[in-house]
Amino acid sequence: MTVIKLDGVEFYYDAYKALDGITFSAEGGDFIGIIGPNGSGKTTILRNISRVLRPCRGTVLLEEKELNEFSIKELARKMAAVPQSTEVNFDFTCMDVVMMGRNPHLGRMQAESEKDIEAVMEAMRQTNTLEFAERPITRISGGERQRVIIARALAQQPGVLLMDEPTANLDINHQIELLSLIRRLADGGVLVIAALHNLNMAAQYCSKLILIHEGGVLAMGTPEDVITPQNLKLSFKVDAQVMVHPLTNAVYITPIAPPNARRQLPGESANIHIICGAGTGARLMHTLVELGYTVTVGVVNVLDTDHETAEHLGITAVSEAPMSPITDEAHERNMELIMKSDLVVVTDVPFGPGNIRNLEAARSAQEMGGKLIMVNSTPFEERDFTPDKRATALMGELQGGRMISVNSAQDVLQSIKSIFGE
Amino acid sequence: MVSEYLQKFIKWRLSIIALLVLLLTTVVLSTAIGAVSIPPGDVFGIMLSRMPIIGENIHHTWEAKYETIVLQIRMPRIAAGVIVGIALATAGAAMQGLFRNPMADPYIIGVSSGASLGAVSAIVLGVSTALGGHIVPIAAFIGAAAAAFLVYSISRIGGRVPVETLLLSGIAIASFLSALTSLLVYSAGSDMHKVIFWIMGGLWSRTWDHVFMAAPWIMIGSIIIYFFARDLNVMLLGDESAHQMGVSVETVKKILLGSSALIAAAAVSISGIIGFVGLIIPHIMRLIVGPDHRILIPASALMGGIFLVFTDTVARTVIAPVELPVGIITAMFGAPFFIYLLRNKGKAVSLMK
Repeated sequence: MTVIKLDGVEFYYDAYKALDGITFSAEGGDFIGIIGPNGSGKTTILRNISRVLRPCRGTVLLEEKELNEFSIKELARKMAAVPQSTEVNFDFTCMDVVMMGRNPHLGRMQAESEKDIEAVMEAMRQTNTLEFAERPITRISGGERQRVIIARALAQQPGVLLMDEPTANLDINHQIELLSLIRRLADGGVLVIAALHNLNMAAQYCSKLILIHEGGVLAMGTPEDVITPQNLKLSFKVDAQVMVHPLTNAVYITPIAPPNARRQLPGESANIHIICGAGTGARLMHTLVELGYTVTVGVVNVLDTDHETAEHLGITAVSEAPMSPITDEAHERNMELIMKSDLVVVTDVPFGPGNIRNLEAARSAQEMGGKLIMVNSTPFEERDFTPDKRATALMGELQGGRMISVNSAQDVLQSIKSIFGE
Repeated sequence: MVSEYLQKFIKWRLSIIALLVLLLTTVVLSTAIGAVSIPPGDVFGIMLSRMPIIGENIHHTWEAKYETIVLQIRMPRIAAGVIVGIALATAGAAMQGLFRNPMADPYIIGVSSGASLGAVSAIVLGVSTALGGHIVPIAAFIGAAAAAFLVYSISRIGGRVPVETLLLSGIAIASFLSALTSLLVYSAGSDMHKVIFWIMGGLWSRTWDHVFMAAPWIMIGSIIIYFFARDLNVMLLGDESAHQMGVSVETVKKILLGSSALIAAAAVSISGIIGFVGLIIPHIMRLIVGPDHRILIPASALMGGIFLVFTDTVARTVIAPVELPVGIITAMFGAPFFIYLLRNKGKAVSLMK
């Protein structure tokens, strides 16, 4: 049965439009995660549902009735909320605070009965807060207080539970405990709508996610549908890798720091061209970009890790179709980049008929008097997969000329630094 | 744990009974003390003789002049002390809860400065003897109520009254009204001592008229505040949370502000500005009975009455026949005791719980 239904809810804080046509419905048993960047309107949605704010346009229905049709106490028996900040300044015991959740069940001058006390104890048992029931709420930790406030909401015995970042102050173990508890409550028929900031946790525990972007619903559905690299890029402006975790079978994301978050080293203006492939250049690319060098790459195959790394870092790279040998055109563009560079680094990539022309390009660079570093952490013979041992021959030629041969990635950096006088 | 929790209610009842006994004792002993010493037993007898039904069975064993002293001179003053103490402490407890700030007091919404302006206007304009001498309390009451209403209206933003705004506009209006009062006092000249006496606060020469003028307001206002005690508890968790727990926050706020202003205004109108009671009594009682307003409000009310009658007795006897303004005594007794409680908070609490 549909418990909560929002239809075209718009809300303005003065002239600022905070919600722009939010529409969704939710049923008992759902655990709905509202996700989205700070300021996107998550809290405002919750406040519109709990009638703390009233929509400027559109409607919020609870059990198919407008919120206005409920008295404030009726509403509090059906719906409870856990706020973001849970500061309390007066010395109530934790149990007293949880008991306040019974307010909507009590008449004006009615004292709490055994039934209320039992509801309170059950709520405290569920949230693991019974052990400090008699302690003043001012003398427990932030995370413990958060759980007491959640117990208070549970003591209302609501059918709908609204939570604004309930895990914000909690340690990882309590986060998991709490989300498991919420999940159990949902399985028991309660509708839980929670604003969550931990996307991985949200994906793992929520049955449904709603991604809010600039006050509107950007995506809604199962975690797999909502958490996609495209959606994350649009809403959070982050690049992220989304995969299904083999153990939990839930999607999880790994954020990739955006390039502009990196240090800028304006003094570095040297161009370094890397000849690599099969992932042998990826780390070097990261390091050099971070140090502020202008890096180019060639020739790498599309789908190769080195190609993806270059693309991600915004490096100019000459690429070739997957699994295809280097064409004349690609070779030519590679040579162009080499000529523009101040230094060429050849990683210890294996050479075969497909990429032998990269080694030829390095040879040409050397002939033209360019600086050259070759990484040889693996003996060259083991990396030569050309049928006619052409690579080994070329290597011999290269070693006859001016070049620096190094044995590890560490040494490459050392050499680069000494070349550019650092 | 269930029975432990329910025991709390029994403890509450016992505390109230204890405070009632203490109040009665204080009233009887204070009535006995004065220029003419009257045996406390006689005081008690005189009081009982005036009760309906019981009174008929009391034998008049005391001197007739005692009856006049007790009923016409001392009792009105002590009754005024009781109701003013009740009013200030109750309003103080309500304000501290409403503002979620233990530094709040009944005067925080401009009641005292409004009352001063009203009273001082009446004194300076030389009309203080009109209406059978009741014009000063009436002017003070009107001034207090008007100031509270002004503060409330200024703070009201789109149907809501944020406590932060209320606090700040209270300070602003109080400063403004105090400036007007100072201006009046400055230009008053001959009535200066009257004005200063009134502002310092005191209960001298209060009559039953004064008591009956203020008592109904104070009774009604205090009962209304007590009625909303649990809402005050819930509102300590924040306006938004309280709303989500079924409290009509804005309505409750209006009722509590109105009632507090009413009882504070009624108290100030017959006693002048007695400081410290409204701030410190709820504080002390919170340390003793805990923060739950269902016990805090009645306990503060009774303790407020006890405290003010006690300090007023000291004020009129310590260097008799000269009387001190009771405001001086409330601060001189209240502050050190308060500091003692703060320093020994843990002990005091475990002792009384």
